[in-house]
Order: sequence, then structure tokens, then C-alpha cells
Amino acid sequence: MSRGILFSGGLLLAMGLSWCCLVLTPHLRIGSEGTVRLEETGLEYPLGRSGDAVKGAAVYRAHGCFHCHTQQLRSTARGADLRRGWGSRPSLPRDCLRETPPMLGQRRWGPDLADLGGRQTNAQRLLLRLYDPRWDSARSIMPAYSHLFTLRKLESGRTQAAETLVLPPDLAPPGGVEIRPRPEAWALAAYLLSLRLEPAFFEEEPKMLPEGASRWPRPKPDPVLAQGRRVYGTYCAACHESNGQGLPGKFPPLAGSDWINGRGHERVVRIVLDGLQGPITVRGQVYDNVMLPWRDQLSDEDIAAVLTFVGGHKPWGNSAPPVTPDQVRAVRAETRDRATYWTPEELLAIPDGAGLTP
Amino acid sequence: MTTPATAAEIDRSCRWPVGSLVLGAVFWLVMAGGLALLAAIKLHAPEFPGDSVWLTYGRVQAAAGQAFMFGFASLAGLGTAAWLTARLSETRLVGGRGFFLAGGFWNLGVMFAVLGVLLGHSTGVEGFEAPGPAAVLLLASYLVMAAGVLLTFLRRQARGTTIVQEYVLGALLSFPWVFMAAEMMAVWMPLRGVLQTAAGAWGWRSLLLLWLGFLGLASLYHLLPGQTATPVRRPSLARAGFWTLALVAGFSGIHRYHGGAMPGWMTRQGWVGAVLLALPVAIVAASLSPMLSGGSRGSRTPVRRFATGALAALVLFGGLSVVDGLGTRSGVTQFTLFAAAVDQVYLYGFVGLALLGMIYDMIPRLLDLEWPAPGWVRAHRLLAWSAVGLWGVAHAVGGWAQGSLLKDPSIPFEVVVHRSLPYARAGSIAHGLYLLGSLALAANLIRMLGRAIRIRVFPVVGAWLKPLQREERA
Repeated sequence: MSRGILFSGGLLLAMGLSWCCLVLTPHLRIGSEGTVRLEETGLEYPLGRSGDAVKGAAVYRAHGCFHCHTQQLRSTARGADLRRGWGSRPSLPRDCLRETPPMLGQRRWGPDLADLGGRQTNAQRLLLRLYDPRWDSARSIMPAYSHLFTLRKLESGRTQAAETLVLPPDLAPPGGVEIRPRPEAWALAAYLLSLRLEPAFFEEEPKMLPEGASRWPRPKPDPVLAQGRRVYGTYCAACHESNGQGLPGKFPPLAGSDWINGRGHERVVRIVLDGLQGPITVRGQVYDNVMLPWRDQLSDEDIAAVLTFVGGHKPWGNSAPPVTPDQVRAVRAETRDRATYWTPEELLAIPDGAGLTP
Repeated sequence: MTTPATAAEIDRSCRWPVGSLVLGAVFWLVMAGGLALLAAIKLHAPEFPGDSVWLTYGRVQAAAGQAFMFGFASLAGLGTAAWLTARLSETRLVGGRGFFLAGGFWNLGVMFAVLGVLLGHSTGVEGFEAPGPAAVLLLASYLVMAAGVLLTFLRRQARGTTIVQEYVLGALLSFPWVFMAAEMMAVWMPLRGVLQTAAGAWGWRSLLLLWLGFLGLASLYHLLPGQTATPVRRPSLARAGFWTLALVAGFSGIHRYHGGAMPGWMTRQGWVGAVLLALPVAIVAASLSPMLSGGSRGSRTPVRRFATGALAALVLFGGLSVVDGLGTRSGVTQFTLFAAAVDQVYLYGFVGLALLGMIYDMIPRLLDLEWPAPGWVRAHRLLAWSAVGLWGVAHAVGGWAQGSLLKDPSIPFEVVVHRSLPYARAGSIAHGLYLLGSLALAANLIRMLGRAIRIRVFPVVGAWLKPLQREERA
């Protein structure tokens, strides 16, 4: 009998060792971590979710989305997650503080979603992807979640409801029919948009490394580039995408764009300040769309930072020199009275390479 | 002190309790195979078989995992544990009726788990997706069955204990504590943040490597010496394998989260654990390998080949685990098909083949009948072997290729996915082969049960009915 007790006790101890190291010790070390007040925003990080987003987390869990999408970004030393444009910093334990359970995922058949809200701000775009994942990327292997939508017949004489899914012409249903996202779809979109790794929050020194740099000695992160990345994520990525590739046929790419590289800052600063309308040729493709003006939203420093970030971002194949706040200020003053969008013809009238500092 | 029971008496006491567990296990084996095949196909043909809420990839994949783990492997393992303990203790199985009932409830629990996941009630903790009530049902019926096996062991007539009994007891003791600890800390009263994931990963790995690992090794330590008429020469080596596995197992799951939200000092233990797993595997392989060459030519039975295949899969798993640990450290194998290769070689290969060998060995003794179609047994063995081999090669090579592409940000993500799909297709073929083999077993078992009912049940019913017929005639 005593042998039996020895056997069971020994087994319990042997199995308990890994439990002590992987569950108990971490619980004692980081189990009491709380939220942190961010100086920049005055908010407690991580933020709580809205009611809709909480419901959306349940939809995400029920569908087992974590079987294809991870929610954990590794540092540049461990993988290319950040350089793929999936986020601006690696994941930290505190990011998951409010999750029950955190759905970190172990396989990547789709892109990482830890910072999806940081690179995508448009619920309609997410809903479109759920309705037909191949509408903008023909090779996507994500199944269509059309059961999250209802097809409704429009009563004659009625216009479409505000929450109708706006489809591109080639996918639009026949006239008289509208596609409405079900409440689960809206909740899921709200949850996806709430996935955000706050760039301002770092527990320790940021682990972002400029491309190609060795791990030691650790360079200081460039505050201008960090600001530019943040502005880009907030204002530009919704259309030009976090990878700078834009959207074929809709929004032109910034990566490798002939409007950015080797043409000086005069044209791009004007576009950012007062917007652009009319057919424009970028990398051999014609785009006919509208870009909104940002004159009142963005400061000279913001515009200079984002153009410096975009123009000098090597992974996108860009190599334009930095833009300074003074250069932006000069253009802003010069075009003070302009109240309309620029057209590509007007911009092309400005000489090539004007303003290029020697 | 009563006299030891004969083998035939013991088998008769196990017939319906263990037989019903095996029947359930084979049912879930086929279900798990079907679901896993569907999930595998959905990966490269996303619109197959049309858009249905119940059959989205994430649900089917999780349901297949639950069906294999708690349906097939755990039921077959419990049956194996009960029969081996009764046989080696030379005493009849205690609490046969309780076993029969608890087995029914366990099946109900698995049904709840699988349907619950398909209907969208998953808990979201990988491995422990079964909704709460299903987990409680599983645990409760487990306690009844484990008590039966333990009581049988305590009434043993044989002197001393064997290696096989120690492995069985290790499995029986590990399940409730690991299952409860993981459910408690990841699902019922979750810890905070990433700690839930850590508890879940620890629990799932421990269930795989200890609960199923000990059962699989018990099967091998029973089958190989018996089939080859070679005794275990160095029991101390087998014991060393047992204790090193118990020490290392729980560490090795958490490496899948390396570099992400979990602090490095936690996940680092994970890849070190995955590398160290090679140690128990090597020890066990060293203690079992002398038996591979033993026995005469006539003893190369299908059962023995299932056991040999299981041992080969275990060794392959050890090697892959080392590569996985080191590859995760350098960020290559993480988030790729490589993890699938490691898990499939272990679960379908080692655990699956070992328990299938036990089923093929045990059922004819329990029913006192031969398998009606021996050709199907050989076919099953060939199909299962090739499926495991295909997983081991295609998913390991594919996973490494996928990881190397993922590391290079200049290759767009879609291209990475598309270049990995051929390997995923090979995986679907493997799932198809494995399912085909499982169907051969199911058909064989159904034919055998039909014969058993004709031989054993009809005469009994006939004897009951005889007086009635006479009355009618009169």
C-alpha cells in the first residue's frame, strides 16, 4: 500500500512540476497585472469593449475563427509579422487582460488579426470580406460567411436601408434586392475593429527595429517615423491599405508609386492638403476616384511625418527624401485660398522634381 | 483469498462493459475521420460543401479533434485499461454494470461536445472546446469507470505489478487531475489574460502525452512482448521512460505561443520541453526495440504490425518534436503545417495505431470469435500506415517550406498560403486513407457483432421462447 502512495504521490509531483512552472509561477508573477493609464490619451489600457464588440467576440469564438487567424504579433527578431504590416509593435501580456478566453491561435491560414483595428477602420469593408472574401483578393482561401447576411426584396418605391451592404458593381445583386448584414455580422465587425494593439503602450522599450538593423546595439526608434506610422494607420490605411498597395481599380498604391519617388514633395503635400479628383495614372493603372482633403485635420508636423514615413519606407520600395514641417508650412501658405480638389493635370503642371532639396 | 480467475472468465466479465466502450470508440473514430476529412478539404476548397453555419472550418476542425480525443482515443483507452488491468491482476472486472452505464454517459458527453462545437457553443480554449455540461458529464462518468479499474487492481490475485499495470495506473491517475485543473483554470474559473491560454496549453499537452501517451505505451508494452514472445528485458528502462515522460510532458505545448503575447520566460520552457521530449521517447524506444526482431515468421500478425507502426510513429514524433522546438525558437515552424505534422504523427500514428492494435487483439478474445474478414484488417493496417507516413512527410516538409516563406516579408501572404496548399492537399488524401481504414474496422466489427448475436443471443432468446411456442401449439 505504501508503494501505491509513493507511486501516486510521485506521479502527482512529477506532473505538477510543469504546472508550477507554466501556470502557478506566471500567475504569481503577472496574475495581478492591472490596466495602465496612458499619458498620451488619459485612457486605461487595454480599453473595455462596447456591447456590440463583446457579442462579436462570441461570434468569433463560435465560428472558431482562431483556427486560421492568430492574434499574436511577434517581434521582428522572431518573424516578419510587423514587416508584413500587421501591426506596429509586438503583442504583450497586458493586451489580453480583458479577454476570456484570449483567442491567440496556433495556425496562420489567414493574416494575423491582433491589430486589425489599427489597419482597418471601415466596417463595410470587413463585412464585404465576410460576405465574399474573393471580392478584392481573388486567391483568398477564406470561406464566404454569407449566412451572416440576409437577402431582402426591396418593396417597390422604397430606397435601400442605411445598413445595406454596399457591393461593388460586379457583385451587386439584381435590382430590387438588397443584402443586409445580420446583427451577428455587425457584432463581428465591431469586435474585429476593436482588435487594436495601442502603439502608444509599451511595457518596456519598444522592440521595433528598422529594417535590416542588427539586434545589438539597439537603435532608438525615430519619433518622426513612429508619428508618421501612427498618422498613416489612422488616416491613410483605410483606403491605401496597411501594406501601401491600395485596392486594385479603386485606390492607387503608395508602394513604389511614381508620384512619390523622385518627384519632390510639392505635389504630394498639395494632394494631402486639398485632396484629389479625376483620373490618375499610378504604376501604369488608371484610377478614377476621390481623395478627401486633410488640411483641417492634420498639422504640418503630421503631414511631414506621414510623408516621410511613406516616402522612405523601404519595404514598399520607396526611397523619397524626408519632408520637413517647414516645407509643408510653405505649401500650406501658398495654397491658402484653394477650396477645391486638385486634378492630376494641375499637379502635373508643377515641374518634375520641384522642391527637391539638392 | 479466492483463487485467480481464468483468462476465459476474465474475458467474459469484460465482454459487454469493454465491448460497448470499443463499439463507441469505433463509432467516434469514423465520425472523427469524416469530420477531419471535411475540414482538411475545406482548407483548399473553401466553398465545399456550400456555406452552412454548422460546417464552417473552425467548427468542423474543433469537432473532429474532440471526437478523436474524447470519443475514439479515450474510450478505446479506457477499454484497454480495464481489460489489461483485469487480465494482469488475474481477477474479474469489478463493477461491470457501472462500467456499461458510465460508458453510455461518456458517449453522451462526447455527443454533447461534438454537437455543441458544431452548433457554436465552443469555449474557445483549444483542446477544451467542449461546452461546460459536456465536460462535467465526461468527468463524472470517468470517475465511475476509473473507480472500477482501480478496485479491480486492488483485488489483484497476481503477485507484484508489471510495467503495463504501472503505465495504466499512471494514465488513470493523470486524467482527472489534468482535466480538472485545465478546465478549472481555462474555462470554469478562468485566470487572467494569457494565463488562461497557458493553462489550456499545459492541460491539452498533458492529456495528449500523459493520459493517451501512458495508455499507448501500456498497449505497446502489452502487445509487443506478447506477440513476439520476448519479455521486457530491462524493466528499469521502461520505468525511466515513464518518469521522464511524466516530468517533461506538460512543458512542451506552450511553445506554440512563443514570441507573441506570452512573456518569453514562459514560452522558452515550452520549446526546451519539446526538445527534451526526445529523451523519454528514446528511452522507451530503446526498451521496446529488442522485441521488434523477436518471434518467428508466423508471429508477424496484423496486430503486431499495428504495434510496430505505433512505435515507429512514436520515434518519428520524437524527432519531429525536436525540430519543432528548435524551429519555433527561430520562428520557422511556428503557426505552420509543421505543428499539424507533429500532432498527427503522435495522435493518429502512435496513439491511434497502438489502440487499434489493442482493439484487434482484444475483441476476438472478448467475443470468443475470429475477425470475419482478416483481409480487411491487413488493409486497415496498410491504409493507416500510409496515412501516417504521408502526414509525417508532407506536413513536415510543407510546414518547413511554409515557415521559411512566412519569414520573408517580401513574399505576399497570399502567395505563402497558396504555395503551402499542395501539402495541405496531401494531408487531405491522408485523412481519406485513414478514414477508409477506420471504415474497414467498423464494417468488420459490425459483421462480428452480428455473428456474436446470432451465436450467443439467439439461442438464449430461443430458449426463453420455447415454452411459449409449446403453449401456443397446445
